[in-house]
Amino acid sequence: MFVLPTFGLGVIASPLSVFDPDLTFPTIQVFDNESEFIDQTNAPDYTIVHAKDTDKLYVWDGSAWYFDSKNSQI
Amino acid sequence: MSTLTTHTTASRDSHSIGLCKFNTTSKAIEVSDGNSWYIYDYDQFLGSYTGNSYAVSYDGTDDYHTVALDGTSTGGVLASSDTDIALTLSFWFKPSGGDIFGWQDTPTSTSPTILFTPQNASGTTYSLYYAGAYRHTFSSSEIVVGSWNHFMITRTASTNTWSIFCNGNSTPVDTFVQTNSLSNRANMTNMYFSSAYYGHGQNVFDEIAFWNSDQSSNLSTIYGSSTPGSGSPVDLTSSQPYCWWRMGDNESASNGSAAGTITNTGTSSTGSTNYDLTVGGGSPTYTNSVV
Repeated sequence: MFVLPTFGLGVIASPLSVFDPDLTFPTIQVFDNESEFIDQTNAPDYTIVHAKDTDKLYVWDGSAWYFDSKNSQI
Repeated sequence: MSTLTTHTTASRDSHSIGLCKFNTTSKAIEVSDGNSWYIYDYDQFLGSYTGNSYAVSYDGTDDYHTVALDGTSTGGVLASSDTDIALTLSFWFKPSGGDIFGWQDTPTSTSPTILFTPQNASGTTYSLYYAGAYRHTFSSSEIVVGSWNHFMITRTASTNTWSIFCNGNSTPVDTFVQTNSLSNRANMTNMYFSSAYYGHGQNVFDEIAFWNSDQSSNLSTIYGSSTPGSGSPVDLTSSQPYCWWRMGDNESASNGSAAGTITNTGTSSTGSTNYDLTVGGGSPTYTNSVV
């Protein structure tokens, strides 16, 4: 059986970072809009987040955001 | 923040039901069911420019990509007023016969806005239709069949002047001052790559970019050189194209693999808007044959 990640609503952690330091996998941060984080380069390596406006899943590998599009919704 | 732990393709972790890893080799998210890894390859990445490794090849039989880049007065990608239309389209291409490009309502529209075709279905003497007529036939030195060429077409809003540039030469191969409104604008609903009026072209395309502004003064920056014939694809990020299709370089591409949807990485790509290229027909493929 898969342990599916659950989504916690995004909370701004500090004025210096938009990434919530209190979340631990499998609960991941959910942003309302991709634009809130897509230009940020200070995410810890392999941070995984979700954006509600695109329904995509994003992973930061230290130099780029890699993302997967939603295939379906139930 | 939530972070994934990692492994590599050569050294995957032991299976554990529900174990989720980021593969630093393939950049995929991988989930174990206890016996198998379920692999979620990335669809696209947004990061720093990583050079040009891929292009897209079209077979001349039925392959083409299209995008609903609607330039009609209500379409949104160009100014709504006919007197304010400015645009730039730039791409690298290696033609071997057949149609190159069209901006029209359907592939066989008889009232296109821009049509870049041979003079017959499989020919290699190319002509450009714009401003309501075929206005330029390219010489064999302006477009070299079987070789990489750079093409850029611009239109200013201030003077309604069209300019056609080939291979980085700052002297246009053709210009035309349009005294009336944009011709056939009502049919300006879709862009077609490697397909136009006659059918489909045998081409390789790379680094297609569109601006809803006149970029003729930035030709050398976009071409990558101020010397005609010496340019190559460059990072266009600072030029802020409205649409920029990298033809595999920001995709999960490999040589010979199917080039499905190609993501737009221009300024219009963020949020829910995408303007991705989608396969209109056939099976275009990625190729290492780059400029």
